[in-house]
Amino acid sequence: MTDYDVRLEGVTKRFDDVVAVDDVDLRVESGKFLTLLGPSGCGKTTLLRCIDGFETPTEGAVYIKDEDVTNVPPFERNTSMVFQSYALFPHMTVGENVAFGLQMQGVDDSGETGRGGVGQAVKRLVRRGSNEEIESRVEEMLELVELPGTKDRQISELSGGQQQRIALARALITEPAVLLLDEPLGALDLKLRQNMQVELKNLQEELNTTFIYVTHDQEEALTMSDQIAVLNDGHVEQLGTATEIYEEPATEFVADFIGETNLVRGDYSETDEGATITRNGRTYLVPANPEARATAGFAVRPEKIRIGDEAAGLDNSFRATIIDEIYKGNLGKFVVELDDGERFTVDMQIRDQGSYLQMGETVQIGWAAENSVVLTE
Amino acid sequence: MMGAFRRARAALFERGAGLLVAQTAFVYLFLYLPIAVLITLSFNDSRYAVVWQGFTTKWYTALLQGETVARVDPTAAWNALLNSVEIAVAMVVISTVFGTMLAFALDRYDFPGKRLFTGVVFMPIIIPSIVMGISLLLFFNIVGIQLGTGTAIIGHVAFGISFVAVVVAARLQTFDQTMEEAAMDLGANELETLRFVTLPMIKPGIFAGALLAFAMSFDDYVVTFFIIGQENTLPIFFFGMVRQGISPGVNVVAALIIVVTMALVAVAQWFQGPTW
Repeated sequence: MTDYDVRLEGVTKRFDDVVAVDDVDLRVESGKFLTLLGPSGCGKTTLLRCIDGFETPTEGAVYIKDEDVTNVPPFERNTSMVFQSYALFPHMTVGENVAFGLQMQGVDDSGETGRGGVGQAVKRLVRRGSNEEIESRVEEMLELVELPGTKDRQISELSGGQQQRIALARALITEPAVLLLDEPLGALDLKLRQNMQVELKNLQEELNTTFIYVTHDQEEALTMSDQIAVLNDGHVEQLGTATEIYEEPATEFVADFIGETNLVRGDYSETDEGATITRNGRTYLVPANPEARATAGFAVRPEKIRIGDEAAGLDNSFRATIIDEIYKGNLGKFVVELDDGERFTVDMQIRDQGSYLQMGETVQIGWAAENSVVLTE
Repeated sequence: MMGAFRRARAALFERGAGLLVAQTAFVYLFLYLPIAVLITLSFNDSRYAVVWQGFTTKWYTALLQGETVARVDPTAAWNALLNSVEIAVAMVVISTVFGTMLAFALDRYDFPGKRLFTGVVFMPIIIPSIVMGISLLLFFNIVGIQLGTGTAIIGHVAFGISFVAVVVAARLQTFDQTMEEAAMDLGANELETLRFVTLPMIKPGIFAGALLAFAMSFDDYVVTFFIIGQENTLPIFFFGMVRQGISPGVNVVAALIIVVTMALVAVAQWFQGPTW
């Protein structure tokens, strides 16, 4: 039996007439890194807030560790959130920020966790008590995020990257069943972001905590995730590993949203020699897909298309004219046009100086049928 | 032509800093010279004239020893001061609590008729004090409440709430509610979130609102005059004195009040702490 930390069943969230999340079923295995990926307005943040408890689903149920928490307030859920803006408390030091979660849980010297009765509650309201147990846990967390000895610093003295780490430490100190991250790297510059991506993934593997990560950045999703759920218009388009999402996109939306792709729509038919898609009288060989309908499309990634001599003899091989080129440094990106006007984007590694192709040149392009994907929608 | 203009402009900018300093000095002079004159005259060795006759502290000594100085009876002044402080303190406590709650209601919730409600809430800031005074007097008469410091407190609260609400609402607008979500996410319930995150963060706004309310109450003449009955507050007492000419006694009491007020503001600022 697989252990699921988070289970969503038919979760729907409507704001007035707007459906933000539409009947989402999702299971997140324990200790996995799941990314909710989609364009802005696709409902990914709303879905995250349903898991954390800041939104109550209009329909459906949310389970955390097999417990129905649909109507449980956020402060009684075993989840922690890293906010896009970090939301660190400016009136507290770094140490006080990190300790906050434990103080609110009422951790005492015996190390036992429990919020206690009315007396405890009143005592907590008077003062955020601290003790050795909390102090040592705070120091532990600061070491985990590689900022030891910063507990007496003010939040405003920290750089954006450091604040990010403190936000992580603050969220992780309560040992949540699930850590929710809402585009936490959005405010960092590229280099720092790439470093943090690797560190976050390492941290997640080290702690073996379930992470649910929201982003609109497909590269980020591909780098870090065990599983990616691609969201569009409030529903899950596809759930799969990074490779599955990239190599075998299930729908046009996924193919188009993840990476760059060439989409061709036409009439699908299956014969003894294999499946084909016909468009403008040209027949393209594609892998058979039993779910494909009479009108279907296929997608082929720019890097899967060969150009030049090596393109000859492949399943799909055509003469084409180069009509545009984009220099990308590490590779050449060309837009080519077939004689019927169909256009493809092709990536080419520039291995030898002077092998660069010129505008207007006629070339041979081609790809194997299995390097393309037939889309169902 | 253009060259001359540019040269003139460049010269102006060059001396601009000096002009700014001069202008600033004039503004401060305009604001504080009268106060400086008042304090200086409280040390003036003359019973009537505003002409400098020499330095003395005898008015201070006399008043503090309880002697009447030029018609200013220290006991009456002291009573008026006590009334003023009593009214102001009670008003500040009530207005701050309700004004802050009101600010939250206006900032956080949408309800039918909110615009109208907001307008009514802020009305006391705009309507002339004299109208406010008369209407409150009418109200107390009709309801049959005995006029006194009690009615003065009620009247002051009526406008104090609005001032506190305006200041706190402004602070709430810049308050990032994600902070509250972060606190709840970490296990703080609503009360704990209010206590440890929301209130500490909007504290400067609440302090500023309370300080403003205090100043408005301590300073108020018109509204108070209508609704305090036989009692006196400091502004009413002063007004009565000054009608018969400025005496050194009035100067001394005013000077003392300025010193005390400034000390209060300093303490408040110190309590308020840094602003985020």
